[in-house]
Amino acid sequence: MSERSWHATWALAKVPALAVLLIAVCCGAAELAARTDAAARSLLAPSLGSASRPFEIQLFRLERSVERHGPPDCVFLGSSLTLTGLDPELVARAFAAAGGDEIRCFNLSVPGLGATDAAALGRVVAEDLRPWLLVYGATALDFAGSTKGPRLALLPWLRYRAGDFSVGGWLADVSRAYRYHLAYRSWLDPEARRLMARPFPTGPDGYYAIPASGKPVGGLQSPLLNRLVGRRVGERHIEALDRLFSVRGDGVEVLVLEMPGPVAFSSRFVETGVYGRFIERIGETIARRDAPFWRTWRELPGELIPDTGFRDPFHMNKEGAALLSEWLGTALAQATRRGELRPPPTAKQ
Amino acid sequence: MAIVSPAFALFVAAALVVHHVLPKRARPLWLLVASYAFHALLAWRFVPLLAGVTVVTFAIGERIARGGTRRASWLWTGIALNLATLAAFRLLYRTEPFVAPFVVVGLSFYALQAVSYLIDVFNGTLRRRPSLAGLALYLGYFPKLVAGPIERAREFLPRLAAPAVVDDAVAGRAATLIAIGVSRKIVIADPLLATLPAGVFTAPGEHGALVLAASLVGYAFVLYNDFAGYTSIVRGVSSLFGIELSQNFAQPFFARSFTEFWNRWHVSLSHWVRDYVYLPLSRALLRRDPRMRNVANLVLPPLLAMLASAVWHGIGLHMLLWGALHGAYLVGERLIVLGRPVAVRRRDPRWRQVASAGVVFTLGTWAFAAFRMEIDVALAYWAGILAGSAGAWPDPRLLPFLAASLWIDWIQYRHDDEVAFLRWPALARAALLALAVVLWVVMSDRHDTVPFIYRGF
Repeated sequence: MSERSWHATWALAKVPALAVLLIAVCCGAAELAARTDAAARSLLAPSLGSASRPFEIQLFRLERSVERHGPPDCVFLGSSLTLTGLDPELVARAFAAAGGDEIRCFNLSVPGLGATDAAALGRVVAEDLRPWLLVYGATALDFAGSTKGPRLALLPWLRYRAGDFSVGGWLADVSRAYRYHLAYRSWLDPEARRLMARPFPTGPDGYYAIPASGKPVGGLQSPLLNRLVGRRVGERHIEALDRLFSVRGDGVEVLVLEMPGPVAFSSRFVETGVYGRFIERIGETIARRDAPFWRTWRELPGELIPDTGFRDPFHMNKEGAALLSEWLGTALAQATRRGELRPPPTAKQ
Repeated sequence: MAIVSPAFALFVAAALVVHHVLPKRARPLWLLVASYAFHALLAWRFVPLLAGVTVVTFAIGERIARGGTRRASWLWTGIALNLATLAAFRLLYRTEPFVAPFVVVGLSFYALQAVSYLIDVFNGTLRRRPSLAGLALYLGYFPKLVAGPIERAREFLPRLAAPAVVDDAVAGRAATLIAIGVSRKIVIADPLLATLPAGVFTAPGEHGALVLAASLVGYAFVLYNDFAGYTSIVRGVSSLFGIELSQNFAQPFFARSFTEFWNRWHVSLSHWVRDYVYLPLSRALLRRDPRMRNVANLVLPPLLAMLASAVWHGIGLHMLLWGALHGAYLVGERLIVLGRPVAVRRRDPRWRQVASAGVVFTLGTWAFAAFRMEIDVALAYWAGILAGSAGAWPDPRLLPFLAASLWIDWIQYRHDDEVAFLRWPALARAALLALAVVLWVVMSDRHDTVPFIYRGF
């Protein structure tokens, strides 16, 4: 009697092989469909698996903008302060008006984005799009030890881009269909679905305009004011800033811009030691890298952005954002003329 | 190591390769080593318990086989020791079966199999008594270790002794069983559970009658697909070693009577209970009073058998209530057919068959409230369905999962073949497999896989 107990043959592999072929064909078709305008118009923004829908939406807006107009010259990164405080169109217009080239900017800021996440995202943007300039709109809160943000740096996609391979990270990087799958995978969870469906009304250039009310900012007693008290500068954020500056080796200029606050607020907040300790530490790191750090809160004339330009002690409304954007565009043009910043390599029409 | 996990797939692949490479005589020993290694990977500290139960059961089996006047005493000693061990560990490591697996891996299943071995030795129904290693493999065989099927010694030991050759037919059938099982678990049971409202089984008062009723129906399908999925996977895995495991589920929601239901739902347990509780009790009662219409003869065997099944599932009043309900259903069924000629249900008109299946499903699902919830919550749940306001409409996302489950059942039922998909043309099978694989990826990526519910018992 034969000792062999396994008599199965390769004929069994026919159905699985056919299934693999069908899956490959279906995945290819899904990928093609996912890259159409119709999909972009009718589906939710594809996801990279983060818990932050605003981040997913912002990144998809950037991708769509690149598909239509090519890579931007200038990308703004930061938290909601930068998101609502810098209007890319006005920055570009002011830059040109002050004698600079025609440039195109994009605001890739995300609510709650800390310095570590901004650095991780900035590196990917620099590698993929090679913009002339990355402007990181920083606030002291971005560097607070345990800032509650989207923690994007832990995303498989960003970790994959940093050299830590994972199948999920790789798929998110190469496949739009997979990213739609990530966006829709939580559809059974009503809470996730509700969050996903919540609108995030940024424009095609990523800017989030808050209408101006014409009234001076109130709410100076906001608990936000006290967030820095008793907190330390997080070392991981400082290290992340170092990593952000490393993209300058790829020919990308990096500028850190201190996001301004209302004058009425500055006397209570900016002048205190807490804020000063944060901003000095950030300034030291930036100075060590011989990079530009534009302080605004103390150095901008108070009348430039009046208190009516703020919705609250942190976020600018449309009026304040217009003033800051025009100031930044002009200042950038002047800095390129003075040689503090390299001029944009090619003028875009 | 979860049964649906890359780790388990790797474990099986490694065990399989070595098993089929080894000479025939070495294979049982290898399976025993692999089974104990599997147990150690799941919970190494309870490996001595399995070994202890095996050695004691073997020793008592030998004493019974030796004959003599004390055979019955040894049998009862062996049964008592096994059941006492099970009861003691169930009390010692009391967990919530629907939340966390019972940490003493497989004890609930291998203790019953040890009892089955002793009874079969006592009755002389074993063609050949196994060696200690043979008994150890019977009790600890890894595909059925965690949650059965509960195999009877007289049927399973011969299968272990002479495994089948794995040819294309066996391997194809095994692969199909595994695919069906993974689909039941990942594509139906886990996402269906996720669609049930949070807290519906702990605070039913917060939900309307429609949601409560739909959730109970959903839960019946979760429980079925979870356990049937598990069984299908382990049966497929075992077939790849040439060892057939018993069918545990056969489209139970198509049952047209409760007697039929228990021949379709957790069959290995219900047949164990039938053979070792119901029939002996029934025979004893009939010996006492042979009249079929005697109340005790009619009521006690089904009621006590279902209560025994309930006690095996859990120590608690709510489980007793669940068992009592099913006992009452069986008694009611016997009263209805008393004195009538035996009817073949399959010959009934289609409408009557569907109506009967509907009644059985409704009453069975009703009883699941006591199975799932503590008694006070179950009572509030039933009250909410009967007397509560209709409330909001249930989540319609339940429906595709129920439909998918019924569709698989229908295909199997229509052909009376659990792997009826193998009859399809190759392209259709490939398309179905491709769809299943895509759904596995999509659904398993959505959330963590929930542990199999019957690991909790």
